Amino acid sequence: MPETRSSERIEISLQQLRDIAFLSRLEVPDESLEELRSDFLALLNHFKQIDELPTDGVEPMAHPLELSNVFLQEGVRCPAEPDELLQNALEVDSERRVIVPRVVE
Amino acid sequence: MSSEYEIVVGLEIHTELCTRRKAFCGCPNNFKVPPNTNICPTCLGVPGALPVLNPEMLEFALRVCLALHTKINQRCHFDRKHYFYPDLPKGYQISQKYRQIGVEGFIPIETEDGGEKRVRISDVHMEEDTGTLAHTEAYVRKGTSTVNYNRCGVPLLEIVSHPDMRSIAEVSSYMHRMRDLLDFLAVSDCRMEEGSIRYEASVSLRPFGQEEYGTRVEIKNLGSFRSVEQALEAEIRRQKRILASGTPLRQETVLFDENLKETRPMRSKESSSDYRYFPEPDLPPIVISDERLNEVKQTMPPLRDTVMKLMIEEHGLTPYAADVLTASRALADYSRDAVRAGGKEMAVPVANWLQNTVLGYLNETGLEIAAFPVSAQELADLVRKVEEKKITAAAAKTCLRESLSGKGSLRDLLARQGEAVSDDAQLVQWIRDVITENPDKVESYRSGRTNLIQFFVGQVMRLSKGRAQAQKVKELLEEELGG
Repeated sequence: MPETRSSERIEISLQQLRDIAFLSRLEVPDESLEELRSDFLALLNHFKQIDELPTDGVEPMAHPLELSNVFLQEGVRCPAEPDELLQNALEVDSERRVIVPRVVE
Repeated sequence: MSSEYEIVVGLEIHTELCTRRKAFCGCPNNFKVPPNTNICPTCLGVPGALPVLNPEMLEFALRVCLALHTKINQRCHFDRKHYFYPDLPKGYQISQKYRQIGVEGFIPIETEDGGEKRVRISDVHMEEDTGTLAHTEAYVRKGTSTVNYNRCGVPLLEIVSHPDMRSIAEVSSYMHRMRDLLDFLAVSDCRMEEGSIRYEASVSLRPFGQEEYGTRVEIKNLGSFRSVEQALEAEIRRQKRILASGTPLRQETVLFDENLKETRPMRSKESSSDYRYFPEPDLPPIVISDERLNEVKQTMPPLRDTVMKLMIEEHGLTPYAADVLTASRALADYSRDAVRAGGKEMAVPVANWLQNTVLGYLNETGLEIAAFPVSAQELADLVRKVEEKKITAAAAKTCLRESLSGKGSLRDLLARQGEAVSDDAQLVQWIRDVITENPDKVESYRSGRTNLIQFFVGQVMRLSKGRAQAQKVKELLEEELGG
């Protein structure tokens, strides 16, 4: 591993933090940003450390379990009724459509 | 001026796969039911519900990969693509980002000079469709929209091309070839009007001879061949105008306004292109064995080219007829059945009936071949009767029409029609009756208005109630009138 890589620290700006919070639909008050940044950096730097391990020739792992080809079986039906599920919606109109906040101008 | 620039286009195709069930749950894949009927905890993203892959989706995807000659990643997996929108209840779409099922293939298309070229396919991947949002005015005024989740979780296949197309005609050929491929592989119902195939185009211009690509603009949400073609025309116009003014183009995403026939930049709602992909932990990887791949290969339905070739080489149809009769898989299947039912010597007449009468009827009524009420066997029998001169072509057509308009089964109508009259004496009798009834027309005919022959033929046909052979009547008429 090149020396320089391990010595570099990851930096993250408050604006980047705000953008990430927005993408995750998290509301973070300004006074909490600093604390969040240090937590975030601790995580990122931990991953950076893992990054330094030699992984040449190692297949990227897509799943932690030694499992593959799990397929839907014939005849399997969902136990929940659609009407029951619709009760989770805040509001449903007379034609069974779920009403949500407007998403067009 | 307009020929200064070369057009460079790439296309993304999203097609809904016509599997019986959704991609990752047991819900029926059918959204023509009342809203929010085909929903379950999995496709609604209820916490704790787990997706399980529908093997039919995998098989359909493999068929497409094989037909597009892609390299198949026999180990592949799904990834999550995150964004928030009410039509996506999980908050992410299950897709394939890091290891798609198929990469680097090609499809041959027709070039403008009638030649062929290959458009390279960069990847084929599996994903899921979203729910459908509606923005009816009454709701929008109240600050709301509505969602129907029946379509949510329906399997989608995305096919991404390299930017290899150089004209709108090439794009058009690509779309047609791809539609044929998806149709003949029986993986999509290809109903554009219902959104089962959707397009996104990326387009850039560059001076002829320049190696490097120009700035690329993406056009989203195109639902038909026509809208892709029109959107490209509009966007190419817009780019030429901007380039001519010396301003650099911005790399952006635009929407096509079907009414104004122009493209305009999409409002960038947020810096949302960060989808934060990561491997889907709820679905284990897919491993496709050589045996499985071979099985899929062996059971692939034939593509349009193969079906056409068969019609030409085995049944002796003209390339034109074979082309017309393979416009869709359903029509090709029906045509093949009818041609087979008729036997070798009937193949060409059956094909003629298909092209003229059957397709004529479908065009008139706007019906699809699946809704054609006469079976391939019945049609072949009808054509055989005509060919063997047991009934006249005119009578056969009348019976077919009457049967199609619900006046009885073709068999009953044919029985009632009676056999063709080929007795010359009877024909001559009718001809003389017609001549006696129309002395003035006979006069005109004899003084040179020979096209009146059609009138006389028509009159004789009327008297015979369609049981006379028109050609025979014409010959006899010419004799009688000439004398």
